[in-house]
Amino acid sequence: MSEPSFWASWFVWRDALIVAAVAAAVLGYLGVWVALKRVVYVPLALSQVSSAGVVLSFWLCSLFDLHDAPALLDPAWFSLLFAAATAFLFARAERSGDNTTVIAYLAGSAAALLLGAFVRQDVHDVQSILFGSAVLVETIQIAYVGAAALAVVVLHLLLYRRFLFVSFDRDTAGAAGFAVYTYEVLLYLTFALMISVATRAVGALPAFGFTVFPALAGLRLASSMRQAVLAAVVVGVSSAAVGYYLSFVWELPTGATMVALAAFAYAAAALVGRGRRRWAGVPARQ
Amino acid sequence: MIALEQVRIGYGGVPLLRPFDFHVAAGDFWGIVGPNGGGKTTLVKTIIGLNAPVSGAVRFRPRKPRFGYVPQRHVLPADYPLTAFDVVLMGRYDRLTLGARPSSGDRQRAAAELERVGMAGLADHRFGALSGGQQQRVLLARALAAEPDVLVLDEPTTGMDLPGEASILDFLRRIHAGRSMTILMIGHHISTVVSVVDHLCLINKDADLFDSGPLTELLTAERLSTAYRRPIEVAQAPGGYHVHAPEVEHE
Repeated sequence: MSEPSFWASWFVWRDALIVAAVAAAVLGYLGVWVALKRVVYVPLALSQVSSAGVVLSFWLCSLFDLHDAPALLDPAWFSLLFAAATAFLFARAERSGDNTTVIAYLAGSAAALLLGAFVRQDVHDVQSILFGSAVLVETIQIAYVGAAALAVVVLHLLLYRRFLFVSFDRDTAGAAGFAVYTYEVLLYLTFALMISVATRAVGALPAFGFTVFPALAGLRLASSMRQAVLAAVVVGVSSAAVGYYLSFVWELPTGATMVALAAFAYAAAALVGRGRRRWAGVPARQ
Repeated sequence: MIALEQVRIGYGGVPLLRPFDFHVAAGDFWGIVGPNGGGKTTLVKTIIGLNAPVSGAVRFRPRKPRFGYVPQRHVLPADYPLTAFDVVLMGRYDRLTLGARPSSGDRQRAAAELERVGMAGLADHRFGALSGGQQQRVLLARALAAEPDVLVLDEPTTGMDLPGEASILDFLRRIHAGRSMTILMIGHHISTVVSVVDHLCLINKDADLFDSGPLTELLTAERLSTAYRRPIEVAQAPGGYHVHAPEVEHE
């Protein structure tokens, strides 16, 4: 498809691009925490567990012969509820260092597949609600992603320094009187909220990719938290916007193109970071 | 100031030791020593509230003191993009309301403590890139920036060379004398610890032993040998004590 037709059909991609850019910005920021806490598998597990919640809501609708999900059985609620419940377990697991992340990933995947076998709804409908589409999004997804992004931003503006202290040095934060577990849970809840909403809006692959690559790129380049966050957000939003454009013009898979660009940005940042460290005489990272 | 009454320390409801009492008065300088894995860190974490006692009570009079904690530096991640100054500023975070940024007063205090530990010139350097001794000084500055009533240090000189160790101990001696600060210090090398403290706590869970009191009472060959479960000699030396563990002959 040509470039002029891309701009002429802006009404087709406008919503999808807005949702992808907002999701990429917030996930890029949250990814900095995910990378620093060395819990990069948590977004993957959260995505699977929230998917299991979505399938459960479909299964309950099938069970009671409900064609349209009532508010109580809305897949969005189930998705969020499951992810939020898992966030508590992850916060506890970080303290004890157990295998909760892997268990949650496997159990979530298995539950989603097993319950999916009993759902009588069209498989394509389930897939699209489970994993969204980076190409086209429903208008309601703009509201979901916007509301989740706003909640995450407000919470982090209020608690940024507490999250930083607790993540960097939990014992000293605890000795200073901070409720360490409470802040860990709140931080994981922001991961759960944004990842569950973003997975359904733009798809599992872009949501996971936006959480990992922009943050790793930012951390390679930055010498302060502020720089790391700024770089992660810029890389995330650029990957989403340029990736969408390239996929449209060259007729490539949209989510994969976005993630490939973010991966390319990470590789470039790693090279620049390594060059700068070599220039400064600092040993290369292991 | 701090009173542990019939306390059993431990993890997950499993006690490490029989119940014991432990009293810390304002202005004391305590050294906490014992073999590796003997329960020193568990004791300190119980005092500062990171671990709940399995039984008994930890009481504070007249109120809970403000603790300045210096953890073992190797437990901290090195890859956070934080400068030495950022780390020291964390000592002021408990004074900030939700969403507030550190005030100029907080920043001045952090800068002053960095200066006091001789690290002002490296304030903008990345914390993770500093040497072990430099990181230890930054963590000490952070603890002091909190304006604590009680300074708690977990093996502050581990891995440091002799001049670095002497410098840290001399600094602690000076702030104890100058600010009348209460200090609890876990130490690995008993000779080092006894050169600065005025009270000693011996702890070894494997011997079910907890003993505490003034340095002059505790620092005997008999008590140390019981705590470490091996022969230990104590000799008065110019300017302090010399603690020595002779080689044990094996058949």
